[in-house]
Amino acid sequence: MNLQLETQSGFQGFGSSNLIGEVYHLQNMLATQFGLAPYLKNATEEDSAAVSGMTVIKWFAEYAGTPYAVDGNGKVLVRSGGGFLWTQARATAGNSIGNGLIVDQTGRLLVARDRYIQMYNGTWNDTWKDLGSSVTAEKGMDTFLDWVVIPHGNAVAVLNTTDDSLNTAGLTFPSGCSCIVAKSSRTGVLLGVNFGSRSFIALWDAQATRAIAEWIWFDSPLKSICRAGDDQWIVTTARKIVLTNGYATKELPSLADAVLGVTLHNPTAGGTWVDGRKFYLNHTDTSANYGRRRSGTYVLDLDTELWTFITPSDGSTLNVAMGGIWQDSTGRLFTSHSNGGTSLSHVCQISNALPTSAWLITAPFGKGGTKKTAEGIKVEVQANTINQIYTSFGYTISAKVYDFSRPLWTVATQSGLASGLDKLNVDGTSGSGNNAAVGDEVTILSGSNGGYIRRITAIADQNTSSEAWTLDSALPNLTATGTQILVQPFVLAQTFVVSSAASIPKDGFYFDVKDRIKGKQFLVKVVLTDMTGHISIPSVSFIYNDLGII
Amino acid sequence: MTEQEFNAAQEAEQVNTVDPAIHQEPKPSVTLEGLKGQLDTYLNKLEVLRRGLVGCKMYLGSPQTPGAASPYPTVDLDTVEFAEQVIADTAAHSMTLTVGGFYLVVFQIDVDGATAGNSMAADVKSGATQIGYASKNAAGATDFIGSSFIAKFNGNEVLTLGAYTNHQVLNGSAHSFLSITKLSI
Repeated sequence: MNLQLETQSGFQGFGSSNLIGEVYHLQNMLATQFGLAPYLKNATEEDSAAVSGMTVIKWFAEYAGTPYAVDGNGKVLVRSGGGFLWTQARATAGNSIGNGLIVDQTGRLLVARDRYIQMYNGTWNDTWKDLGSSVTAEKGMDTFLDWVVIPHGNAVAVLNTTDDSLNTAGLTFPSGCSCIVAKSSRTGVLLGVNFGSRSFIALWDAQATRAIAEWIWFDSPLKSICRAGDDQWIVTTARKIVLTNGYATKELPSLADAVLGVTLHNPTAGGTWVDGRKFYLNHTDTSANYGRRRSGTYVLDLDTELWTFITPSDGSTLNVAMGGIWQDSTGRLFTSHSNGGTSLSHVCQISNALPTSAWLITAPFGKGGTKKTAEGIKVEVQANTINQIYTSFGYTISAKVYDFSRPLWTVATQSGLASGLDKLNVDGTSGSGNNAAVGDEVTILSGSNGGYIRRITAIADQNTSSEAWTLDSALPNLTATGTQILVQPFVLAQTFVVSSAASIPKDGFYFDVKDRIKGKQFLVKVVLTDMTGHISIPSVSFIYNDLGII
Repeated sequence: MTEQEFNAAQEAEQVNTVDPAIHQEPKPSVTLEGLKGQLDTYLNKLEVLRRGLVGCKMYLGSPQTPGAASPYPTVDLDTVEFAEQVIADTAAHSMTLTVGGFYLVVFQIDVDGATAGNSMAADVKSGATQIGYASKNAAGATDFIGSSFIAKFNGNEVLTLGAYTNHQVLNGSAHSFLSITKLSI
């Protein structure tokens, strides 16, 4: 035996650059000082089953110390009673796509609609200000000096909050332009404008009849702008993310696997946010992507330039439309999404809490181009030092190995209602559904079982139209027809179920790779579920027998 | 390999520890060459400013009423090149340059008709192009606003002074001025 021990540590996030601390992928994991911790959770506060007719939330604002939100139909919601309940504050008052929402300098709640500015100061006025024409487009508003800057098609309106006078065209762009968002900062208001297949940003002072700096052009549609510190913004376009001061730009990393022909970044105008050195991006996948660019919240660390992924609250990452993201005065981070599989819209909060499941996939193991057999995996586990509550350390931890011999990302579709809670049924004659093997890992991408991970233990009637997979454990619900299922050839090494242990094993966990998988390079996936204790993973080691031949 | 087998192999020193297989790079940072280029750029700009300051005659102050003489003295820093014009006219607020070059432009407007608390702004245009700008919230119905900057002109430009408040163009009043001083750069 020519045993080799290879250790990866200092995990920071995922990307496509082979940077220090880079893993291949992770989910719901927070990079802490002492390792990756399953400490990011997106949880539903309310859904459209409770608030009738609620669609995805586009914008949030804080009125009189209470979070408010506007959905995609212009319905205004309020987070009531300081609890997790959201209720309708005002029904849709007319044509609106939830164009914009802000609290002005005098403390009033302003809701932008297609034509009117709706105002609430204890009393609702649904047609308080008339923008003069109906424009069905995003109108991300912001305050600047004593003005409220309101994008409105090719014009930018300004509301004087001293005398409430409205100039519907404080600045006018050429007729083919569509300004969708205004974000102020120390040096002015940055306007995001789309123009055919291209876009530009223009720095404005809310006074002059023209921009105060040269426009900066992009060759793809502009999606969102958010503030990043006192005098910078992050501009997200379909193909590019940049940090800018309005005069010059610095490109930031795109989401992973930036292939041609797709919208790489697809937030709503209110779907980006910066908190400290973290950039949050609510991405809506429109390419039926089931790899590393699915719907959910992506978080870029602006120092390490590596990403983290947070799943929507119901675990689904396909057929999901993400909404706005926003932080209230106490630092709570709110977001929203709409699940096409369950037909439910959710208003949610992302917090540092234990998620339903979390995992990481390491960077490749296996030095040199020689053949190797996987022998074992050692996962170091420590207490999460950020957590300040004592809970016993219960969790289930699994380690799995991938040898690059089969595609890592394939998808199958549930055919008819599942024949049991531990069953999935696919049309084995279709192109994508007939490639699973016993031992493969499956992840439900959409619908009521979204986010659940299982392993195929048996396949009946393989390659027929009634192919049936038996899973290692039951799912919570019968999987509905049309549900997308991610199939990955990760071979399970071992699973440890830790039931409310008083302490954490100092030697970590050793996983025997019983199948002795042969390959040249390997990815290791570590999955955490059923967590009650707050732990972190500082390192993952891989033990292999180097056969010395190519 | 079981955990016991692995532990035994480790104790028998049969396990070789290797560095991670992946070639991980530090985050790309600013290169020395890039820094040197930036430094050169800044040094060049500083040199331009230094020459400008040394080589100009600075005109301090402006007439408080249109047409009156400045109450302030002028100071010669150098007499290599010098040209200056001051306008202080409530009607036209414009001047025509005859000689190109670098100029120190100083402007101020007494904005009449502003509303306390509202934004007001003043600018200098060369033809239709805004080249200088200042804004603040008005302290009262009349308030001063102004700024200064260095600009390069080709000659024969028409410079215009303007003021804005509530998104309306206002006339400035007396006590407004636009002063340009040619720098020997």
